Amino acid sequence: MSYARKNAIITAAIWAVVLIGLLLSVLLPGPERFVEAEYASWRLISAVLVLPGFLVNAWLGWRTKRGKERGEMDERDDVVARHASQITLLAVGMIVFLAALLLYDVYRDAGGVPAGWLWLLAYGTVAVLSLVHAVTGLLLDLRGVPDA
Amino acid sequence: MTQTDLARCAGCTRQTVIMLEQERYVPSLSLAFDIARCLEKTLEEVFTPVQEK
Repeated sequence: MSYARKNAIITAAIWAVVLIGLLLSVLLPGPERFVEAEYASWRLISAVLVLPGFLVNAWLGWRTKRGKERGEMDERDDVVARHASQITLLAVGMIVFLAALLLYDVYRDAGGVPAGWLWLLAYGTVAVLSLVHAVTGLLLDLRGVPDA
Repeated sequence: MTQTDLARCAGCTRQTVIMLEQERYVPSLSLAFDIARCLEKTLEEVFTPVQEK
């Protein structure tokens, strides 16, 4: 397996775990109760959950740099990453837009959205961004990027 | 010359050589020249322009 594919799989795996953790930390107490004082520790855990993802991203950034120096990654990996970034930006923008619109539709009669959902939307966006980028990069790497 | 040999000579990965063979990647001009040099052929002998559909 190529160096870039390993990087993408590691990134996708760690951010999938982070995303599941975020979902559970907000959905188990419930988005309405998540902001209550008794769930302060849940909020802390939820925020800290993102940290391993960033640490892995930093480690993979260093690994990518080393891979390029060793000739295990080349210009095609840069092209794939660039295309993946463009697709990710569009896809995550759409996901956030649709999620915000869904929340509006569900809670418009209530006059406000539970803060837990906004917390999940904020932290979830970070996780989804990295996850979609990794998966898109992996798919483009396998399928090929015809135009440089 | 094996894919690995060509990749090593041209300074790219074997994966890139595979993608080039399958016409699933368009190389930079720099890489195209390096590959042609490694194969001891001209650029036109190795690469042909893809017609726009």
